[in-house]
Amino acid sequence: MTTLHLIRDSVLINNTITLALTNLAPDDVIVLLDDGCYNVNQDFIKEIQIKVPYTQCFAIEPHMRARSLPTTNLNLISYSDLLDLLFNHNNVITWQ
Amino acid sequence: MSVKSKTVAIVNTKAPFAKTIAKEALDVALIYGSYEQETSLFFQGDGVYQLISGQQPEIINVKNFLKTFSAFEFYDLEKVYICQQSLADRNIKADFHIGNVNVITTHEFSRLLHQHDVLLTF
Repeated sequence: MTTLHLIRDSVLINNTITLALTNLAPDDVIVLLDDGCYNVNQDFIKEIQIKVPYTQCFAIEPHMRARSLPTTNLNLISYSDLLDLLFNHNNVITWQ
Repeated sequence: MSVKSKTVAIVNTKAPFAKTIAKEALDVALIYGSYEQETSLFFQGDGVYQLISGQQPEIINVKNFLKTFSAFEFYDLEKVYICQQSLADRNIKADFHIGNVNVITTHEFSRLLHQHDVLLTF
C-alpha cells in the first residue's frame, strides 16, 4: 500500500514536517507544495532521497517558480500531474 | 512640552505567500511610516524569504506586495535588518530585491531589537 506524502510547510518553522521522514517507505512518493517548497534548500530533502529514489520526489513547478527556488534536486510537476498522483495512491498524508 | 515618540520594530518571521501575515506586517510598517513614527524592519527565520530576489507570486495568484518594499525610502523606512544566521540556515545567498539593507549577526540583531521601545512580531 503506497502512500503519497504532501509536504506543505517549511521544516525549519514547523517540526511536524520531520515526521514525514519517519513515516516514509521506499515505495512512497513525496511532493513539495506551498511553503513546503522551501525544503529544497534543506538537508531534509537529502534525507528523503536516502529513503526514496529521486524519481519519487516531486515539487509543484508554479509553487517553486513563484518562490524563486532552485529546481535541480527534484522533479517538477504540474497541478494535473498532482491529480494523477492523488488518484494513483491508496493513501495520502498531508504534512502541515 | 515635547514628548519623544517611541521607536517601533516590526519583526518579520514568516515566509510571504502561504499566509497573509507578511502582507499585514508590510501594511503596518507603511502606516507607521506615513505617520512619521520611527520604524525599523527586522527579518529573521522564514521572514528572510520575503527579501530574496526573483520571486513571482503572480504565478500562484498572489498579489505581488513585495514590489512595495522598494517604496520603503519614501516612507522613511530606512532601517532594514536581516539576520545572517537565518540566511545561512536556509542556504540563501544575500541576493535581495531591495537595496539598502543590513545583514547582521544574531547578536547584533538582538542588540538592535532591544533598542526599540515597541516590538511587533509577525
